Amino acid sequence: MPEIDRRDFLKIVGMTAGAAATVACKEPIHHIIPYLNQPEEVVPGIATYYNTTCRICPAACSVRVKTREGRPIKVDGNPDGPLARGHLCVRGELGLMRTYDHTRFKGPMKRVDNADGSVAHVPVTWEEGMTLLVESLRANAGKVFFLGGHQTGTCDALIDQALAALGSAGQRLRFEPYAYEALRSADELVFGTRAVPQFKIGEADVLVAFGTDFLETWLSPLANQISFSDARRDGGGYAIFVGPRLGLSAANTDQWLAPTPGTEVLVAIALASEVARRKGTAPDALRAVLAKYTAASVAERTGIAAAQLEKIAERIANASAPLALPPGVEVQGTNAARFAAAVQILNVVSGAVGKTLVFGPDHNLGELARFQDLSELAGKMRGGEVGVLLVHDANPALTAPQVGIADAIASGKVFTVSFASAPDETSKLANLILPDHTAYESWGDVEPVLGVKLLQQPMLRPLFDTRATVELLLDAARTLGATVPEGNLREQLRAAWGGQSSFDAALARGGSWQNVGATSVGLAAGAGAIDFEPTALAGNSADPVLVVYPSHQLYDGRLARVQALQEIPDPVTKTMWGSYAEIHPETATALGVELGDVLVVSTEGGEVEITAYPHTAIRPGVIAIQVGHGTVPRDLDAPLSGQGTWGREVFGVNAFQLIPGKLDPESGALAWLSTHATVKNTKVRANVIRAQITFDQEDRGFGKAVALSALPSLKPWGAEGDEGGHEKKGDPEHAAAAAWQGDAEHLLIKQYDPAADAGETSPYRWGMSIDQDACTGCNACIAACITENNIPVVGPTNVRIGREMHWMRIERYVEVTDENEVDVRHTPMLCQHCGAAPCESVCPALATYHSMEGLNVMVPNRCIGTRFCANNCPYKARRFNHWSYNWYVPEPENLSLNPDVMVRAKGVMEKCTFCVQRINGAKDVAKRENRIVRDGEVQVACAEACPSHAITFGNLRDPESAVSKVRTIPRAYRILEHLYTRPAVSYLMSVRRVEEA
Amino acid sequence: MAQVLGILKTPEDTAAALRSLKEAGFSELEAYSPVPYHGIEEALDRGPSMVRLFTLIGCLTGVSFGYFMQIWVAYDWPLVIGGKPFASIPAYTIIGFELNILLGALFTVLSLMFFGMWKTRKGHDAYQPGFSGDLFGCVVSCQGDQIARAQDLLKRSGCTEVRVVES
Amino acid sequence: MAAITEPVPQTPDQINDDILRVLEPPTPLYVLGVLFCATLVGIGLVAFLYQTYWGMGPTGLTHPVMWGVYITTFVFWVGIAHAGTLISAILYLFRAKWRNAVNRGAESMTVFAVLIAAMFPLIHIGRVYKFYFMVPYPNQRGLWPNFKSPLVWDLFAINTYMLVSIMFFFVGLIPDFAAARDRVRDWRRHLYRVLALGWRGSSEQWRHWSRTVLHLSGLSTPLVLSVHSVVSWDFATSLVPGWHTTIFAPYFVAGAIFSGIAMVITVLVPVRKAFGLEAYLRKEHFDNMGKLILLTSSIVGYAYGMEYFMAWYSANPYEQMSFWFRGFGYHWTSTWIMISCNVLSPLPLWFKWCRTNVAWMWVTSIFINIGMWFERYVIIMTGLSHEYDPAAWGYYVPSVVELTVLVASFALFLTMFLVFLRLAPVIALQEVKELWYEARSQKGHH
Repeated sequence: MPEIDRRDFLKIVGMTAGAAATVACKEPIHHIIPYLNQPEEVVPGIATYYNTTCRICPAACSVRVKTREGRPIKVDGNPDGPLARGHLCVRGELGLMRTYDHTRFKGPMKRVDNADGSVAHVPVTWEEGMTLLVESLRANAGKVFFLGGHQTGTCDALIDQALAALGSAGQRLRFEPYAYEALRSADELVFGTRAVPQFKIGEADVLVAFGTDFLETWLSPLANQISFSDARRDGGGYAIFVGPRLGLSAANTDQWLAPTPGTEVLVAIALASEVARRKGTAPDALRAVLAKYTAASVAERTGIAAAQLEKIAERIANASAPLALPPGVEVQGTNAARFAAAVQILNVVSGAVGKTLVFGPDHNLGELARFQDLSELAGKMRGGEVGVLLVHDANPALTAPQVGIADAIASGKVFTVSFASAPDETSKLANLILPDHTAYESWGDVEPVLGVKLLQQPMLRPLFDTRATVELLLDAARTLGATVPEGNLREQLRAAWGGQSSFDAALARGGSWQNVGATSVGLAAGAGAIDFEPTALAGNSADPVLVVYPSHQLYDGRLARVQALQEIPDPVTKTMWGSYAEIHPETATALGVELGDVLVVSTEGGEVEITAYPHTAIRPGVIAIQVGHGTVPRDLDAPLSGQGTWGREVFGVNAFQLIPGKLDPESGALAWLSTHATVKNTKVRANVIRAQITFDQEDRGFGKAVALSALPSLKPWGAEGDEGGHEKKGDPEHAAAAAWQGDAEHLLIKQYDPAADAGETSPYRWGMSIDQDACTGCNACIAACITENNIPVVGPTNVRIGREMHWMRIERYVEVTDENEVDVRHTPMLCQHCGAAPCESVCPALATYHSMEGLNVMVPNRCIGTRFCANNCPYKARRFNHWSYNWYVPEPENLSLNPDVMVRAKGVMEKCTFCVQRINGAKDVAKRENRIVRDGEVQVACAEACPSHAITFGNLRDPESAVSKVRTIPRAYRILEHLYTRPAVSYLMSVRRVEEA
Repeated sequence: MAQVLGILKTPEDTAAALRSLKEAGFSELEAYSPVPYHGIEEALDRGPSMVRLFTLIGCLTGVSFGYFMQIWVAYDWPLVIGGKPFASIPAYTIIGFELNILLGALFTVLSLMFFGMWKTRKGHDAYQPGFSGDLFGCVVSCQGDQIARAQDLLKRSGCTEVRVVES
Repeated sequence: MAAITEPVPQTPDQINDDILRVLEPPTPLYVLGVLFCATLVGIGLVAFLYQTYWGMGPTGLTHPVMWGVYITTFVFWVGIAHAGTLISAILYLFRAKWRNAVNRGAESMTVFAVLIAAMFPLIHIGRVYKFYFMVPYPNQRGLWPNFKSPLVWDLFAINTYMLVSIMFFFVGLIPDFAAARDRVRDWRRHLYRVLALGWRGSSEQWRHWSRTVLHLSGLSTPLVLSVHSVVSWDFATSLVPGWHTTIFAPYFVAGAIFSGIAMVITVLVPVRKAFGLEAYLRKEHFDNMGKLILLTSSIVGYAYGMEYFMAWYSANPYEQMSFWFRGFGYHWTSTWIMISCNVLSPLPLWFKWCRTNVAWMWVTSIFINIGMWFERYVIIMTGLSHEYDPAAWGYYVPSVVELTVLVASFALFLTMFLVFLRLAPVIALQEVKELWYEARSQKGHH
């Protein structure tokens, strides 16, 4: 293993993590240098790495946090971890910013109702806060209710004990907006168990997703993405998406079926019956039900031609390891459980069960509540059965407005205590706010998958005057005379994890995981008796169907306060800072709507004013809105005068409030897809904040593709003077080259050696290769780049006119194909570190030049801001500081800046440096050991994060390096190389798996 | 030493007067005119101005310094710029040219200041403000009996006024 | 010669009187004009300081359009600066006598315009307080500018041009300062005594002076042609579609002379009226300048056409897209303003009646000024908005700050010119006199 040295080093450091962490806790942040007495494992200037767990979403991935001088600055996947395998998603990369959010609660607060009826929260001491809590608990013994988020492991048990001690045993909900109720009921219907099995996407050669956002939020999205890319290495795998939207997941499949919204269930069961007929292996119990549905019988209602379904069925039947993914929330209707059951039946008949669909180790959702339970809770509250409501890590006021918990709280009948660490809709109503630490400040553990137990340890001393909720509840119980386990949370954990030594070992690894064997399941008795009907859609059928879908970057809105996530363009719409009403251009014309029109979208659930955004990645007759927006803004001053007071604006709308409260009777799940929406065009024009104004690449060869059938015959670029399959002849780009320089033809065929573009004596020429077939456009690389390189948030006022500072962007190009092939190409674009860089020769001040190691070096301190380099860069990879963004980063967010990278002031240019600080760090290590840097020893932030292994970085002068090898494979090409910029970044064509009929 | 000044109305007359004075053997002649006039220069026949030599020197200095500076700088701290050779002569031609012009012009003007202004700063006692308007002046520096001859000659060559200025 | 209806100066002294009358103590109107312009300059200065304090944020500049109004205006003023040298140097070498009447005014404009032009790159850069990084000065860090950069070429070209035209201008003024010294009676005579550098008009001085003027003309002629070529190479040496073309140098030079002559007319016509200089700025001068405008306008028009032709003929999709966008995209209005002002509006000048009609010439000249500003705007804007990478396309809208500075630059130009009017003869005295004597001798007096 190339990184063995660093790994060992990290393990040793990790061994003492417990001690180190406590030291970090005792050490006041602002006195961290110089140390009064320096803990031996913290050396100023040397990063220390700790393993812990990311607690942003229930997937709970094991992460490794880089800390400098006792403060965490970068989160990455734990290379030894069970799920993440050293990678991390876009949300996890920026999860730290929730801790550094300077608008968090600074301490406990209580609510005061002013005479004029207005409500305010005033700070109180912890003593007063605790007294208020204890009093209310005493007064309402037995009527205490705890509303929390997804929680497993020790903390979960401790909360239960505390509740029991308060005489309110079991009065508790673990609420998540994406709670897989339907899937669990479906498993009960089909297999007779409520377990959530493993879907081995990595081993599936044919994948059918029914509106499943498996790359965004579904179950364990990071693990899904990693295995999805495994399945599709080198043109392998085939994926079909059935659903109304060409979302991030759908865009990475090969075929898109968009049946009439609500009838997806029929597609699933019809496929099942067609597959069964072809394989003839259907269990007898299912024969009857399968016989009822055929491709032909559903064709009319679904609007999908029978022939098409049969073709797909054929493919599934012939597949060695097919897999169908149960529906995601966006297609979850009043028939949710049966829809999921239909998909599981498809898995049964296709033979996926036991092969790609395996029970054990199951996903551990714990006792995750059903949406129904939440509405019942609201009823109890109204009925006065709840005296004290303890809200922790849940925000029902935002994510479940239908059930009226907010009103119940506002009614004042219930004494509400919020443990939120940052302001949210629910805490705004609470009578008492006792802020919790964030996940990176506190102890804890979680078991996302049975057998995989992850530990969570503090990375820094709590920034504000907060207290761990679990400890606080136990204290409260103690004060009330109950007997609860003694000692603080860490001691509890140590006990639960079997004593000091095993605890420390677990801390070093990040947890402990052993394999839980698979259990075989049989078909449940009632499985054959299910009948499948489309979702009933309320409203006028002439109106577009409302599709509400989870946000890839903001999840359910819990991350809306992380401005960097707001500013990363959405992977599909490329819009930033807000949500938009997405409709198909056809539907838009039908409704007389244009880009930027403000629409009033209303359902029986509610009504919102939202800006229209027509694009083709959506089914006609549908209006889609992303959730997670329109939440409480960070109530901060404008970071910079002249940028407007955008800190106070609310961006987008809360789409949850459009969902009528209809439930799926069987599973108690919320029916997200349950109504048409009336759309009124106010004719008011609003700004559409978007990073890309066209998805058409004008045949300029940015994102290239090769047909799977042509892949074997594809010759390497420049092979024996031949152009291989590199679509050169008649390719406008080629024509351009020919026109560009008389000798262009020759230039294109002559294969220059990028490794030559460095000093003769230098052992290195750094280069990169990006596999567009693997890239899903998930933005994890951008997030990693932002945290690694101190890239500022510039805010909507500037982004609106295109001033975003991201060093890399993911260009999304949509090719026009026959209606059900998906050809979306994601082209990550960053500085190409050209051997003959156009930017260098035009800089008057010599602020950018070619380093001995082949890097295109930018020296902001020498830059005077003529901006000619940016004009002359054909890749548009350079970014200019129009303002001194980073000077206005408020405390304590400045603590998140990477001390190894300078912050740039106004008036200078900046761009991708290939993480030169990491390169130099690795060179120092190598120099001490008197050798050159080994391949893979230095990883750039984007490559490190990329869950799809799309980015390979390394030394081109080393013929054995991974990057040198991957550059020479036939799919490799370089963008705009006819300009003879000699780019150091090469791309691999994406593969079109749909064979031309 | 005295200066005999004759004031005339036209450049032609002035030139004629100067010629006659020369023929009469007068050597130290000077003329004032509101405009440059070739006839007068020919009459005085002083040969071409030194200025042209300095223009040449300036130009050569400029162009050689221009190229030298750029090439020396390129190797003083060699950096690869856009994959070009350290010293790219074609790119340096422009600045070489500009400096050639700049120094050429500077030297020219400085030499004018020296020859035209500094060296001729004395001996203008006979100057009349009218000479910058519409009058022409013709001055003979002489002494003794020559003064009378000069006055006589000037009168005969049509001077509206002849006067002797002692200095 | 055009039919001359204006009065003819009778004696050289009258020439002195007429022309030096301009130097008489100013009228209230004049003072108001100067104050007004000065105020505008002040406002512009405030805008610039605001921008310097905050960075380029207050401008409309963004990715991918990194150059905007400032560079446009820079090229515009450099262009204006060309007429003076053309008239005083090139026409001097060609012995085009008619130039004598207008060359002083033109030269003064050259000097002022190039001064203003030289300011704009500084206003434009992100860190104006670090501008000296462009200048080669010995320093202990061993840092030097990049002499391969067209911007450094620019720095040298513009400054050379500025210094040379100032010297040329001043040398030409020396005899006239002497004339003013001998005539003016108030305090200013002391000023003129200094400025005249002891000029007596002795034949010895004339000898060196004529030679100097000859050589300066000789040097300025290639210089003036080089300056705008270098400016054009700022664009032509780049990769940007719509910039990367060899036609730029001649195209820009022609455009520069075009706009320069137009500005000369725009400024001299009011002066002629205000100070009754009809006898000196005669119709034949306008006639000749009209012909120059026709010539350069045709060259410019040809260049426009050729750009589009090459875009089509090269079959280069980037060029084609860029020029389609130029004509019919987001900035189409600018393009059509440019074409109608620069190609269509001068067409009537094919008729002598229009050329000799001062009012007509004046209006045309103003159109041309507008058109030439937009020419540079269009080239910069459209080139950058639609470059290679479709995902990086974007638009640019000038901000208030930029437009304020633009207006202030015109105000500054006027301020300087008005002040100059009162300080030095706006018409080259000794040259006009020279002409008078020649005409006289031809008519066979004496």
